[in-house]
Amino acid sequence: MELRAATQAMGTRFELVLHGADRTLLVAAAEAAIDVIEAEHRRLSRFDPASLVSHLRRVAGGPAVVLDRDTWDLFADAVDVRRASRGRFDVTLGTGGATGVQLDRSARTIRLASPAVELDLGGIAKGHALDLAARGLREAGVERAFLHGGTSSGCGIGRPADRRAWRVVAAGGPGAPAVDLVDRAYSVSAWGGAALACVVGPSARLADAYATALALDPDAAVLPRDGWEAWVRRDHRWRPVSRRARRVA
Amino acid sequence: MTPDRRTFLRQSAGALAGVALAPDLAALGPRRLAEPKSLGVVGLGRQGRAIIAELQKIEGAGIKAVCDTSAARLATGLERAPGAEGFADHRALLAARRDLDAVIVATPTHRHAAVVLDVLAAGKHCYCEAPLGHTAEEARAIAAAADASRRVFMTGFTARSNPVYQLARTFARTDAFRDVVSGRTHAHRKTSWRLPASAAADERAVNWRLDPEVSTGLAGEIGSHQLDVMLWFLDAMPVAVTGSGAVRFHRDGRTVADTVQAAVRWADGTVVTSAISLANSYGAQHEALHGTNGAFVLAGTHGWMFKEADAPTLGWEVYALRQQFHQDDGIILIADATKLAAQGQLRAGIGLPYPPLYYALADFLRSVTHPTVPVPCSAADGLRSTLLGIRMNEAVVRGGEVTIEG
Repeated sequence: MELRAATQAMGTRFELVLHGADRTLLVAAAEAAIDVIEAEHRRLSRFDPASLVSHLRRVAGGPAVVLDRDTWDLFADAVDVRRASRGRFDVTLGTGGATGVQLDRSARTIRLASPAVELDLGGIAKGHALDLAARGLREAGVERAFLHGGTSSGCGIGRPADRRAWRVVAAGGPGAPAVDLVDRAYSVSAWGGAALACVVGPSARLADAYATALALDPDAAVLPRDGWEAWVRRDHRWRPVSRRARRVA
Repeated sequence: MTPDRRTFLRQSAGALAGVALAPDLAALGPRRLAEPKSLGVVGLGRQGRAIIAELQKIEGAGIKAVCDTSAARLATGLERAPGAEGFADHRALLAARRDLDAVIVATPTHRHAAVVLDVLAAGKHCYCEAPLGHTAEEARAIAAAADASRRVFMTGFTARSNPVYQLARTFARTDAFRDVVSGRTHAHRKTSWRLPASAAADERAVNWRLDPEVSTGLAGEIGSHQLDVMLWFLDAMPVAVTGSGAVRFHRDGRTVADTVQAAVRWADGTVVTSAISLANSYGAQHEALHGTNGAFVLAGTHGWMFKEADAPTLGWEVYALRQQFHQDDGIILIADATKLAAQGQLRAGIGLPYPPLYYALADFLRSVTHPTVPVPCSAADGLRSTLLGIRMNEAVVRGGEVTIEG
């Protein structure tokens, strides 16, 4: 059977499609995944005064704040992609520079350098929420599922019951990449109304961040070496991105 | 309590014209402790993890130990609390970590008593999630142990720590509200209340809220929180409750009702109606209190006051922002409004900057640091509201009227 669930979060509609035999299990797992998405929406919103992001801004310049593992991974990935994209991907929107977000790996803490540092996780939060939701589904025993946030970011767990993969076709004209997702994620990002980037890899969070960077500048971002594919559209034409990191990220 | 899925009460329909209750911004956080405190958290389910997240925003609150009988939840809890030591048994935690100042108990309700009594016997301050217990006997045992322990004990009915609710209560005691007429609590959220269990053997333990042997259902688990608001505002215990309930949507073999209604009656004739459903999300979660000069609607991080047309004019109304709810015209109440207005920051006072749970934990830790400062929700307060939730569930299950002990 197929079960669908949905919620509004992060300014878009998240949808889950689950395949399985046990409806009770699917319902419980889907609701738990929805709860995860909604929780991350509340935690990461820059517009919600009760969010973690708002708290970080309020205590900026002061003592560091301890992070849970998942949120730590989010900020660590954001810093890594910023570095890999030479600043094209920047959760501080240019207000923090290379040192605006200060991470202490041993203490697993974060600190914003000053109250002037803005935080906007819009280019990575959807993928992050999808990664966490997908993990929860797997832990609940779901073996076949597709999740997406506003269609621009998504991931596939296993294969659908009736096909060999979850197939996603990027919008945007001739040559648009069609990707088959089996335990992989994708993200499509747009910039300036004409530039598009599509990234596919093992993490929706990283796909989100890299797609954001590539849409801005297809030559700036360097993808991790293994397990990643990317395409950019310029002048109405899609082409694959070939630059790879010299070392595994 | 779970957060609202719907936010309709916070969105204006047309022109803003309502009273939102927003207290003094300076008192709203972030909070820091005068001296660091070492804490343990027992119970790492959803609420335990939420507690960890809020504690991490309070400077000086050090989570040194976490505990859960489930290996998976313990692993998740340790991921969330770096540097904490993990235990599968709360007694092992208490024996090994004599350095702890306080322990926060967030186990399933029917396991509170076993843990809390050991925590208090170990000489630790204790914050116990609400409701206190699933039976009157266990709730009373917790309250008695707390009273005898001479330690700080706080029940996790968070409304009493909520600055918006505190502000509303001050107005409820003035001519702005006058005499109480009636009240209404509403908690709707479309969800099955069922959690995924990694193994069939764990199903009953994980989904204890759906087990009629140990669960007080929607009335106990959700209703008690909202009725605590009413008890706090009205300052009196009700005398009786009637109720009904049914499975209206989640027909998955459960017997615990997914939709309940109740009416709680006070000796002076005041009636508060309660509607709780897992089958529909309209209205989210809020409490309303109706007076002869005005009404309050309180919804977690936000609150509003609605004045009667013939109520006396309040001096601060000239600064007020307003929000329209269909035909009801309210005024946004903002503490220190004059100063905020002068700074062009009036709207910044709307809504709380932290979730209600944050303020409750901060209040508990303030009392742990300064034991002469009473907690907003004591064991006795928690017992009364817990008993009310238990009796409400009895009324729902049995049908008819249940008398409430004084």
